[in-house]
Amino acid sequence: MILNELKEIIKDVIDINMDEIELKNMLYDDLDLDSLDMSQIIIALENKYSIEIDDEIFLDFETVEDIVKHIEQAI
Amino acid sequence: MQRRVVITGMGAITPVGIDVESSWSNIVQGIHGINKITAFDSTKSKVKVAAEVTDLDESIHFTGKQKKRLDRYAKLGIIAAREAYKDSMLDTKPIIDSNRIGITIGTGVGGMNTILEEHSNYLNGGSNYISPLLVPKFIPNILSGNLAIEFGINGMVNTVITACAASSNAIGDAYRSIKHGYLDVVMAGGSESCINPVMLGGFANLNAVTESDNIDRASIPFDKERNGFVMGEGAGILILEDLEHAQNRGAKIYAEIVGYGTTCDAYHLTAPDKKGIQIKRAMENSLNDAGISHQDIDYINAHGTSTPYNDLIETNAIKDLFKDKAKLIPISSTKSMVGHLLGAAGALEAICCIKTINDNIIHPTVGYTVSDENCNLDYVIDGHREKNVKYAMSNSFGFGGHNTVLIFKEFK
Repeated sequence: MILNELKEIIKDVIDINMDEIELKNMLYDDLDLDSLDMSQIIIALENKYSIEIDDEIFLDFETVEDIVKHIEQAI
Repeated sequence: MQRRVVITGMGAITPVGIDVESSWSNIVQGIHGINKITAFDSTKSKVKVAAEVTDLDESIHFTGKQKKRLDRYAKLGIIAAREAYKDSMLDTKPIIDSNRIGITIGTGVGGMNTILEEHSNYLNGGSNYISPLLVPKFIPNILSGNLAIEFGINGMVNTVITACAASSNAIGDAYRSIKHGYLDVVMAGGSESCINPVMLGGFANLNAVTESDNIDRASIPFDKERNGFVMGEGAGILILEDLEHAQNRGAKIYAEIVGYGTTCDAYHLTAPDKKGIQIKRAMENSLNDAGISHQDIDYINAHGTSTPYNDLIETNAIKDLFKDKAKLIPISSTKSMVGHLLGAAGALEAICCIKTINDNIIHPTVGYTVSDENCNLDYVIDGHREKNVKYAMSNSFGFGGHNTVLIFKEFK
């Protein structure tokens, strides 16, 4: 399921427990991600789902849910 | 304007210890940290031994996220810097103006291990598998950048790249910044970690590194059978400070740095000039800077790499400069125990000079068994020696012909 796979990727990048990640989490405020974290997450998603995510799109992601919804539409 | 510059803190992580005290204790006892290589499978490598930092549990020092963002060279540098910072009491007796603190770090190759790892990812999976962290991990200035962020340092933050003289140049440049009033405190030193098959293969094919598999007869500076250096890894950091600033802050003072001489052979990319003119001149410049004569030097920490050329040319330059006194000065090589830390060597050797001055103990040169009639000075081969040391000289020479000499003085 996409949310679980995304949680795995986020866990890998910022070394956080998967159960600490929720759909409603704000990426920058709740999970404390910075631009380097986001770059790693985006490239991992692109490789996993064989998609490309444009800069303008990923700069608009605010929550975990935003990313999940985008992947669902893209694949 | 010329101010006095002192050392108020030190930190190190080396093949013989995870901090200054444990490293120095082993160095004084003549215990070396050279072993069979574990960093990679050396079965197909010509080089069998190295001086690795062992017993390092990264989780004690870094979170999972930090570990991912740092090449090993940066991790070692940060560990040493934290020790130095705490030792200087900058955390409890702080500097008010962060614009007046700087950083100068020396390294030879920075995050080379990261480049190899990401190149491997590229070959296996294509460019989409190169980590976005590649550049902020490998560039040689990134240790300085990381330290500035960690300690909130807003002054001049530089990285010096002069191969095996790098951290000596870093310390010398830091000393000048404070001496001439640009900064009040500088975190200065170096870090290196590139024990990988490509680096060692390159050095081996250049005949620079020893292919000995006898760990007790691999790094043998000044010995007749010396045949190349042993690659080491590690980091050393000093906190350099304006004397008045240190006294106002109530910091403890280990020693004073009084001399810096740096020249270039302009001769050959890798071989030192046999005439040794610029090595001698670097030593002379450091003495002139310190306002002392060669007669005043009580101890020389040699570059002493265990290569046929360096040890001979360095010996000759010392004889040329010190004349009759050459045979009377104890000279020892830290590299006989920790191998060659490349860009970090000068920093660790500066720490050894300062510990020598504080403890009045000169560490030995180990591994020496066969005498060389052309290298016939006093290399302290029979164990450590107690001696009152007021002035200690430290030599560092790097590929590219960089010759750098520092002089440390007892502080009273």
